Amino acid sequence: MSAQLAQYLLSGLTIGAIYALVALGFAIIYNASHVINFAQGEFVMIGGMATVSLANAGLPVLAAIPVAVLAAAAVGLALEKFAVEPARGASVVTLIIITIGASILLRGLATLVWDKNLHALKPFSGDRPIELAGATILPQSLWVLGVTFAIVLALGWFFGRTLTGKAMLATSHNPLAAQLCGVNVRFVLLLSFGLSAALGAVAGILIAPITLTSWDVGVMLGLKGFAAAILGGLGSGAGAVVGGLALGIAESLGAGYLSSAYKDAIAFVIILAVLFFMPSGLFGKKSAERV
Amino acid sequence: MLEVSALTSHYGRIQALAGIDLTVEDGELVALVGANGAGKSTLLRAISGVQPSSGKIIFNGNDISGVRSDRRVRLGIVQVPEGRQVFGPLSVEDNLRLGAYTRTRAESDAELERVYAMFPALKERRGQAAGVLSGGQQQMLAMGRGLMAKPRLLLLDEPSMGLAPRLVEEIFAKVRALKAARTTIFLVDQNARAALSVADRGYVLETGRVVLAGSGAELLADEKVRQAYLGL
Ligand SMILES: Nc1ncnc2c1ncn2[C@@H]1O[C@H](COP(=O)(O)OP(=O)(O)O)[C@@H](O)[C@H]1O
Ligand SMILES: [Mg+2]
Repeated sequence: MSAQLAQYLLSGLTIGAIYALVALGFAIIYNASHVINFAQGEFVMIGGMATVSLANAGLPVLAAIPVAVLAAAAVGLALEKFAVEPARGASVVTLIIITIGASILLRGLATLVWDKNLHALKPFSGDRPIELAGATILPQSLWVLGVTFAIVLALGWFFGRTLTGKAMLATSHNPLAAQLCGVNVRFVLLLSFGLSAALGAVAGILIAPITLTSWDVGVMLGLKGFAAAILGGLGSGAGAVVGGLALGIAESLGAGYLSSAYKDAIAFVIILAVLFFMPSGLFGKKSAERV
Repeated sequence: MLEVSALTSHYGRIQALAGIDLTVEDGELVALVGANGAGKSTLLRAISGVQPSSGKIIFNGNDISGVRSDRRVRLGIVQVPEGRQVFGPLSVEDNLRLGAYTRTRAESDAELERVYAMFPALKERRGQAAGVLSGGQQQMLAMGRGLMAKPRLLLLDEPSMGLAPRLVEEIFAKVRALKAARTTIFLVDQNARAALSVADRGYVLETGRVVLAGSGAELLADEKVRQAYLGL
């Protein structure tokens, strides 16, 4: 493998891991409510921006990160409680429009609370590149990959091993039957927004030292995460991860071998191609499965 | 145990329940029969709290009309819904464990053993996805999942629907066994003869109203019931 290819793959995996985290947020909310939460990117922005501003205020980064994640989760819970929950029973399209409105509102609030400038977060463990297979990798990329891996394992455990996680899956499959089992589906919905917001925030914090952050960073990252979720099959956790990594690598290779001008276009081409040719994505449920 | 009075429910402007009064006593098996669309499922859903309704629902002396559905399950009102509604992608055992969602882990363990003893086929398939089971096995799973919640009042909605005669007989044998174990049961079934035969009492529902009530034997002998629901 050429060093150049290795380099592209490493940077593709790094950004792909971020897309995967964002895509997982889409998947979790989609499963709980069949809503595509277009405010998902805003959680990413809040995570990064809150960490930067807390760090600038003098808080050690290790303390700023959990505070920022909790703040984003609180915003997610509030979004569910005050915007989605009151519209329960409305059509999914209405709910999606509500999330679009919320994303615009959150971006506006971000420019008021913070500003419209680009901000840099200091890398967690310096910025001296590490040699790897002829290529180099930033320590921050290792943080991105390591934390994403840990989160994927934790989510796998949560949904595969705990009764609460299984209740969330059950609710997504059949809300009525879940209710008859005594599951409080409103709590499931609330939990899904809190969890998705926290995941988005972690993604925003991890990537901030590599790509800078700003009030509108969530627009593009949200769209990329959405493309990854569509590619993997909306609602599939494994699909979100594979879709994110695949999109990241495709972008990185496209930018490297074609032109970096095409980088962002790749995500949109993928969205369109999947919607036209493979509507259920790589890991999505076949429509025949839904009886 | 259960006392329903003046219960009404609507789908938009369509009235599905037009003032229902009925009771189920401790340890009784009460059957509810009626044609398709009479409102039987709507009534059961209203009792479970997953369907908006007005009127009064008293359970063990407490008015539960405004109580959330998950709290009603905790109180012991457990429904096995029409059409089985198992969680297809989840394993048989996960489906059962979710039935005990409102119970402690120890209760769940104990109930799981009892359910497996009652439905050995489920134990053999405990690791399989519920969606690949046959219709009869899915119905057993739906009943098992309901029993996992330790019901004080079990609401069974069409447990024999769409099953071959041999399986219908098996389901009703389970219902009789539950009755013998003093489980209080409110049973809806299109198989009116079988339902009224196992029931202590029964109600006949027509377009959202109770039009007849009596002991199972009385209703089986009733001329109107024989014509309309037993095909005689
Ligand atoms: N989800 C629904 N939306 C609108 N109408 C419904 C719905 N479910 C049931 N109905 C109507 O309510 C009435 C009672 O239905 P249901 O309770 O399912 O009857 P049963 O269980 O006795 O067959 C029927 O007229 C049916 O068409
Ligand atoms: Mg029905």
